Amino acid sequence: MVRKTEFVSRRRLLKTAAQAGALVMAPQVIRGSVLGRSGAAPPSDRITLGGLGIGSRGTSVLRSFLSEPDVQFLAICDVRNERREAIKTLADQKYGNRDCAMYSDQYELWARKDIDAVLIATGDRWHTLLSILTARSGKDVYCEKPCSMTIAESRALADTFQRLGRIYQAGTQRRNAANFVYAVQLARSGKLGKLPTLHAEVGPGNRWSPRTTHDWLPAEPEPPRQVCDWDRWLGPSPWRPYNSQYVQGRWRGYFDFHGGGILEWGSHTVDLCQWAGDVDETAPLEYEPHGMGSNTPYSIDCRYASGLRLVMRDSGFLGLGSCHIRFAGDAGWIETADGGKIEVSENLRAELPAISPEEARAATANHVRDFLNCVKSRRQPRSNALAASQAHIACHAAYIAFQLGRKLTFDPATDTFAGDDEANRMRSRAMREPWRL
Amino acid sequence: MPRHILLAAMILRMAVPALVLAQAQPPEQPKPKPRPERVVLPPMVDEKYGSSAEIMALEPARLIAILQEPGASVYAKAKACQRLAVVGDKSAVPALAALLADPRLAHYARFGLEPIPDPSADDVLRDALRKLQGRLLVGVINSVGYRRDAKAVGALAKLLYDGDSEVAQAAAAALGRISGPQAAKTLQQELDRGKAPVRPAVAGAALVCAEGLLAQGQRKQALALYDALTRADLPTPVRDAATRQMAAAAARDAADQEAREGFRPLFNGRDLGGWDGDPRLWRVGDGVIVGSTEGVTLQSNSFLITRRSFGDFHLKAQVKLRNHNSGIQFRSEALPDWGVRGLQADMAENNHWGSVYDERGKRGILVNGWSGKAEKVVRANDWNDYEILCDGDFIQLRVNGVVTAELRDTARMSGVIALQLHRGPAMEAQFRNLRIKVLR
Repeated sequence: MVRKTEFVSRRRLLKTAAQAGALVMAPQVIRGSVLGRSGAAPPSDRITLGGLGIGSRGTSVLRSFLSEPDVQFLAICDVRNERREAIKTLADQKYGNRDCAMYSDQYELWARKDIDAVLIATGDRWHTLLSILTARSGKDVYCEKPCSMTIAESRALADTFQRLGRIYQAGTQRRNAANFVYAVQLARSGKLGKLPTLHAEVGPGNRWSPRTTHDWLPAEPEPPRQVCDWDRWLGPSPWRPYNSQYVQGRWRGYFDFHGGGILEWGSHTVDLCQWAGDVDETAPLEYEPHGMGSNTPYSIDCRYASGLRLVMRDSGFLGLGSCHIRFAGDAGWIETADGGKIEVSENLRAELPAISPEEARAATANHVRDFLNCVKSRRQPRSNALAASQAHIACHAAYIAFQLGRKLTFDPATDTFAGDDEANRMRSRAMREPWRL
Repeated sequence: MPRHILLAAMILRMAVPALVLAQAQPPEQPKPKPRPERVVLPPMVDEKYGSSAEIMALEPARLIAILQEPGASVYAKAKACQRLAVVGDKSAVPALAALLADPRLAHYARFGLEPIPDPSADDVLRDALRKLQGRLLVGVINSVGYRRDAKAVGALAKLLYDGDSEVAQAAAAALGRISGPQAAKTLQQELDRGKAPVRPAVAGAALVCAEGLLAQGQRKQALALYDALTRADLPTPVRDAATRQMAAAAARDAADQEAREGFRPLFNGRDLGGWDGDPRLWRVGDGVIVGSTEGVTLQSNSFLITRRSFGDFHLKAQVKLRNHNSGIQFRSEALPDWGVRGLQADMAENNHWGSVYDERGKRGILVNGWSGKAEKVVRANDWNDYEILCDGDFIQLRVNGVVTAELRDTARMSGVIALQLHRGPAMEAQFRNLRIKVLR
């Protein structure tokens, strides 16, 4: 395994902030209530956790948290009664008590001074806003991906966590999967040659349309607020009539709730490419879309200031699993995907490590551990707010180019498209009142 | 490699030879595969204007007409607003503005208005500040803030005292986002007077405002705001953040000052480029060079050595010695197997800090900088500032700002700089912020 710290580098601003912070914030008081169960971590080492909107993916992440000995899960907040009950049952069974609190109003959870960190696994529409508000309440955040709906949200996310000095881990657990880490390390070692081209698999178009729709489903009667608070489910997104499909998890693909197939997968694969290219603090300058017609393979050809090339594509990979990345330079190439399989050029075969499927599957557990360690050390985890935001910005910019069907030029320093008014107007969305970033 | 991966690789190689054999080339696009449409319930269709896609394909003038048509459905109007967000110009502004008071469509109206570059969008939003109340007013305030309309600062300042605390909090946030001298002045006054009922919101806004000021180069006003934010009655996250941002600003100033004086990084913060050392002993993490002998038995002292030589220079570094003995060589001779010979700015656990020692030479300790000097200022197992000045025959060491050793020496006037790991017990030493000014 590569040490986490080898790859972490930040802008000078962040570096000086962190160093200065290390001086003034020296006595970090770690809260944590007493558990009173044998074998548990002592209270000073314990991280108390709350959950916001935990569904199927969130439950799997929560299980990783619950299996860490220094975590105590104290409270769940959800707009759906059914979900509140399910998560409470899970936690109470784990601890053998009935202590897990249930809320439908997130402000009650934020008001709990005994909670250190919050796991956010709502739908995408809420991710940035809840992360920011949680940070303002003085807590650290582990948030599922995609982490933002727009370029503007991504920037606000990075700025807020930098400003407030909270710890943020995006749920892009492949940054802690052994096979992906090996590929990234190989690209950064120079063994593939200088500036290898980075290939990121984005939503396989034959299963995930890259495009979102503005459609509404037919109206159904709204359930009582206690069962499901529809207004709160919608949150910052535009109002539309209730339909049970959305709240049962079928909200993807709708523009108002989802950033599209490029972001859905690119938040992992483009993110890994940015890491491999050592460009975690920026984004590509150019985005040239290909294959905008329906039912055709598509790609977005991107270029960074250094000349480095990134290709987001929905096909053309070796079929090793889902979520492919491929780094190909003039001295060799590597390709890997979920499941841990790695393919490399002949010249690199001898040093290829054997990675078991178990190791590859441990990604989420490793990622959760990385976050918990950083909550204690106050260092930035692998999928910190800046790195995650920049990768998301690249995906948003790519999808804007894809929707407009033309090549776009972007300035990552100002998050502005050059000479394209329509593209610039797609960088943000007005939030429904009373919400704001 | 496990057999199943080899097997899979062989199969793949047969199946897609172009992919595997063209090693340096990106993979070829395969033949187009049909992309089935997402399977969902049939969506809503507007009786008059059709599907969402059909509505949003209309020209801006038609979309505006839908907004003005009393009988058009909420669906049609909502979709028209969302499309006008991208294509509407100032001709769309009045029709969108007319919906700002409509509870069902007000957000859609702002959705359309917020991205319109024309200043008339600011005018209608500012105008709505006077007419609306409750949540609809909150929404408009948020949009005014998003657009950073400096002309709205006066109206927003009044809204800080609105009886509806949601409105007052929104006004504070908008002032923070607008930033600039006038908004900063308003927020600073509110922090000083402490009368605003939404003080925590004002504090959070001031934090954002100060950042905006710094970005605009208005340093003094930004620092004044930060200073006001460190007061005890404000929320802890805000106070902590203000303290940290002030320290960061000071650190940036110090770094800028040093850069102006001619100091350049001797360590790039990322890897050991420019340095040579035993790879088993040295690594880089979080902007720090970490040297450790854990798991390695040294036959002799081992050094991380600069690839170039320095004669007259001023070196500044931060050093953290966990245990045992380390030091910084200067004007030294590089020897095989990462050894060196020459002068060392010494340091050891409870000893030798601030002293000049002749590594692999015959002179031993040339100057004792520990007794009565470094011993008073060194922080054990913590970061310490170490400085080495070599100017002609004059050599001076400082530890945490205190001069610990001065001597005149001409034995060797130029050589490598090197960081030491001492043989003996397993030890660790860390180095960061190494920067050097070459004097001539």
